[in-house]
Amino acid sequence: MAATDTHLDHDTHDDHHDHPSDRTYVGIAIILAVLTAVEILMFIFEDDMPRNLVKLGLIALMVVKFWIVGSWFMHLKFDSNVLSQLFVAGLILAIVVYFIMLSAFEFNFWNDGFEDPGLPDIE
Amino acid sequence: MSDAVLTPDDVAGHDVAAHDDHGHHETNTGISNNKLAMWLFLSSDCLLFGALISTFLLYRTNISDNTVWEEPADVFDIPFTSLSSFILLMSSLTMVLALSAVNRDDQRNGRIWLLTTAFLGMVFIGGQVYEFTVFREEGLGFGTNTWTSAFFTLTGFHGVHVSVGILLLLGTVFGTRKSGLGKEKGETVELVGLYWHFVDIVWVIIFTVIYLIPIG
Repeated sequence: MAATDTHLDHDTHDDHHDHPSDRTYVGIAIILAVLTAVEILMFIFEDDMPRNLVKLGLIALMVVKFWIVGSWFMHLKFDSNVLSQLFVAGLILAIVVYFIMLSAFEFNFWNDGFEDPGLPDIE
Repeated sequence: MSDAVLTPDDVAGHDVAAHDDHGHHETNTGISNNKLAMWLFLSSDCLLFGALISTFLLYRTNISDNTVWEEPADVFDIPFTSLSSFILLMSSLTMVLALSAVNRDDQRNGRIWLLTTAFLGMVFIGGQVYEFTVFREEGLGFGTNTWTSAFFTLTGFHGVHVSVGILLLLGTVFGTRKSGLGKEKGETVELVGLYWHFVDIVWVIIFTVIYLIPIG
């Protein structure tokens, strides 16, 4: 019985976390708003900065915002790791899809050694 | 090993212990089936948006000579879209405040925050309709070029997701008028919230990748 109880305690742990307070949520929203403002400023002053720096900065800010919303608002920080793994698996698959499509379009990877037979002549 | 064998008493004890305070059954994973299903759906939805964003990135230049169809700065009204993005971001805040209120059994505030979230979502959709209308008036229709096709498909699909989210929010508020929106409905609100935050998180990517990052 004791072992069963311990097992249940362990299992139920993931769903029984303490949620952050409302004040914490407001603080997180303020951080997100500031990050969005920084993104817009980078866009406005993009001509005064190296283009690659602008791109890198915008992508970094996007990743941070994504992580904050996922961790705090979607509670991945407090929930079972299984959920994080599920979500990350979906994201990785989506990125893989992009690179497969990129390889088809940009590098002409899939057409190597392929000769277009053309349309048959119709007399 | 004998501890691992369940006796009828253990099973009876398990039945009592296996209900948490939201009233749903415990599972082997410790995660409710509904929540796991929602996360599986969101994970698969990543693929949909991944494919649409990929298509946009690859079609935003002319494939035949790799020239740029349109520079984002020349086409988009960034101050307007920034405001829309901010509104959607703040709707995520009102969503977590709704869940927090419901978990405290504060039904009145729970409903107010859910309705506020739905309202902010409607404002966002209104902004998207306005943006589409302006594009159309400027001669950028769905079939103008590959860039516009990919743009309207991507943002249109996102708009559909937001609209479905609004319906879920309103359904949660008005569907619980008789039964009440107490603590026992916490998981329902949490699932709607997960969907809503996902819609927000996708817009975080769309706003940066499509609207802000310069081409070339």
